[in-house]
Amino acid sequence: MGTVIVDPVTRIEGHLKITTEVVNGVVTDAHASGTMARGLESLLIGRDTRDAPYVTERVCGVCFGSHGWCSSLAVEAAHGTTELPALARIMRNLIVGACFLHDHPLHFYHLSALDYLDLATLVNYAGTDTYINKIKQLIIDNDAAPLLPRYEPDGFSINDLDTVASAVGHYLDALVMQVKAKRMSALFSGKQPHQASIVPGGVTYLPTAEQIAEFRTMLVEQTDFINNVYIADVVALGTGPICLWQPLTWG
Amino acid sequence: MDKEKENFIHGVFIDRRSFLKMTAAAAAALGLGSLSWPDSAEAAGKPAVLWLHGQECTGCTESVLSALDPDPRDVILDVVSIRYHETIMAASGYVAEEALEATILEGNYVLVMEGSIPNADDRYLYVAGKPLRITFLEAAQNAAAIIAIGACATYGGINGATVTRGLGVSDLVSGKPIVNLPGCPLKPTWFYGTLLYYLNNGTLPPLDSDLRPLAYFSRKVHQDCPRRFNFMQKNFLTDWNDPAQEGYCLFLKGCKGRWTRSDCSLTLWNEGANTCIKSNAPCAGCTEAVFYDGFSPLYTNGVIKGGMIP
Repeated sequence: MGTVIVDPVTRIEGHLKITTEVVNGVVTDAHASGTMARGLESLLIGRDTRDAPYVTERVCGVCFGSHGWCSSLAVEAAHGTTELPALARIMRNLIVGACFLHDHPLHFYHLSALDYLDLATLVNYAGTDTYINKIKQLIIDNDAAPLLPRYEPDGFSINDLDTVASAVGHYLDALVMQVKAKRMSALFSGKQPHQASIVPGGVTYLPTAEQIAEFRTMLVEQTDFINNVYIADVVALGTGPICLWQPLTWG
Repeated sequence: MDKEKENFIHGVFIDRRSFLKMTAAAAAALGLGSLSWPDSAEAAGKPAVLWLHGQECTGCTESVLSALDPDPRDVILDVVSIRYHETIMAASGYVAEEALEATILEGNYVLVMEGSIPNADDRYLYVAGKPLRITFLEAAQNAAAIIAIGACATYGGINGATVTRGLGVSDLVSGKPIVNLPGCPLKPTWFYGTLLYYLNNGTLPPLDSDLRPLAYFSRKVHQDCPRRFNFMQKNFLTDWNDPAQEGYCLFLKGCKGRWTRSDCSLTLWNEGANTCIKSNAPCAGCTEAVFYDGFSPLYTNGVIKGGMIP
């Protein structure tokens, strides 16, 4: 088969190209190339150190929070700060923790799951979910962008109707949950994506009791989603590609 | 000045509560009655959208998908036909390229540009084996209108300051309807409001000299700042740890609100959750053309570049 190139690799943050050498259906060599450069590292040379978290945060707009947080830790270490006030540490953990609630399910559902699902299966859907019926109609009308077209489904694709319908339903639920997780983080950090309140030395903001109460309420909803939907799907779908040589029963 | 006058935006009086209704308010500020998608567009199929990613962090896509009104599920399935969007489309590789090429040939789509185009050297950004600059110019050629979103795609933003010398859309394309929605990232209301206006009227909303919609960018953050009283009293925050300075003006901490046009102080972020200044952090001026380099260092106003004097 020779050289197989996938460029662009989609559903990632940034721009990626994968080159593989295939001999008799077996990959013998592979290269990954990041095809974009911004020069954010060299931009920071000679700048005020307090700008570093602001710029570094913008490395990624999907896993925001993490980069600004780590850059703040690096600036603090460079200035010889060994310990933060407990309140600042807790606030940062809540801000970044809410970001984790946003981007881990987002990576699983919105950036990965579509690779394993044969969405065309949904034309046989007979359930009542409004949004899945909408997708069904779009597939019939040949207007299902951006969910279709895609690479031809292969042995790795799940085409069991119940599993696909359930996974797509959760894909759509997670789309709403990620909005709420961003709001959770923004309550303490100004805005999301790209928070404002984590600065070298601590956190600028002390939230109101009202905001803490809202954060807590939203956390309950998120925890419920993680425990009852997300983890179950990770266990079920995370083992998907293995089915080629180790058949699994779905649904 | 009475309360009503403070909320005077582009010839329309809007009370504060309706501002908080996010997209509905975004539509109202642009003179649209309600959040409605035009019937004509529905009859002719969903309007096609091409969404290209230059040098970017995907934060603007994330921000567009951080509103509950409109529901993100409706946006993806009902509102527009997103033919190409590297972060959400199922296709990869040649299937993605074919979708892009087919839509460009079809023409008459809305081109959304996120991220800058490197000016120093094309090799800073290649997609599908060719410089993104070339792909972008081809897509811009056949577009009905171009919406540049985020600081990078509008004026270069942070990438404009790096060795790659990233450029915004209006630096590369002329003779097309272009609207700039800057910000790092942009606010979802600006995107939905502008898109709605375009789909309803077939033209872009009234723009300022930097091609930003007047409805969102006619007033400075400073003018509507909740800490304006403390600014006038010369109460400037110098120490975040001092409880006596709570609510003080952040000017000495580098706030760029005096030079920054945006409705952040009025409509807040994440559906009214908070905003930079409200969370005690200085405005970074991310909606201005001089951002980032002209406003750096961000956390002090001791040295101000770009000839601006407080």
